Amino acid sequence: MSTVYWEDVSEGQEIPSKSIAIGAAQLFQVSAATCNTHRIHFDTLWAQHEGYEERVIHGPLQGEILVQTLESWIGTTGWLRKINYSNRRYAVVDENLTGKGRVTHVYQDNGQSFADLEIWVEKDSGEVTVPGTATVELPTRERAIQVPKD
Amino acid sequence: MPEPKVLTDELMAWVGRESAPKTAQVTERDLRRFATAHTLWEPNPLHFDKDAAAKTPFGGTIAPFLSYGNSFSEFPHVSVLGGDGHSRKVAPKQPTLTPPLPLPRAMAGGTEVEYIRPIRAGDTITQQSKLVELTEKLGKSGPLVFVTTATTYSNQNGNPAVIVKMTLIYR
Repeated sequence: MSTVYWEDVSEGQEIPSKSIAIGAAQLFQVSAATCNTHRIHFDTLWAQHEGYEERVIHGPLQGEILVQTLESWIGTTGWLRKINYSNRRYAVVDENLTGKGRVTHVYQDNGQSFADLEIWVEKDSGEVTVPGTATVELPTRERAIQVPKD
Repeated sequence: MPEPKVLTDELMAWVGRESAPKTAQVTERDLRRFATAHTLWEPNPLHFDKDAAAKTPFGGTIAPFLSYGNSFSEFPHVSVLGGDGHSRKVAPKQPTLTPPLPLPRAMAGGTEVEYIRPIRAGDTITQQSKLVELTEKLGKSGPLVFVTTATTYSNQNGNPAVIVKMTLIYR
């Protein structure tokens, strides 16, 4: 992972997008790891009974698409400080989803350097399922981010 | 003529209510399981690789960003599940933070997560929620009430690590 320096980030810039079709085994792992017994995530017949075409991606797992798109961009030298997202549309197993982001504001505050972004998850049809915003703290060429150790 | 309001003074008095704090240990095993289950692309060394993470500004591995509640999760016993697999019959052991609104349907309105310091394996995390906002708007089909709770996850030093604001919209 390479370093994204704050000086190199500009308003309007798009970050690298990341696509994935989440499979049934991963949906199962997420249900298990979070003690989530909701049947729409692992039982196709039940999901169809509730009116979905297939097993439904967990809302927070669509949030993960956004978090990990940002993590892939900032690597291990930047820090996600704030994320805000709304699950507006569902998505189902094996459906291709893409995490995208665009820088809306670049600023410094109290010696720390930040970028605000507009972020969203998009289907191949262009339909946005999860819109949101985020703030990342980035290093400058002179100063690494300071992470509290207390 | 003033519109009839859902949010009476009595309901507004719920703002500021706090849940009883809960405490949990964050284990390396829980974090690794959460991270493995949720990793969508290449594994982030910050969540998996102690040696690599030690050389970053984080000085070691940190919990995945959306794992704050994971150490508090438990399987509900099947006897309390409804047909859809959701918990149904759980009697609240403590007073709920949701006021008794005369609106039957709830939808997720958004999640905002703020990171103040990382959560790490070995931490003892205390979770406490507070009802921070109740607002009412008039939607197309009638009144909408926005209920926002803030849940703070603090570490063993009493320092806040993560603050999660969740909004539910009742209609």
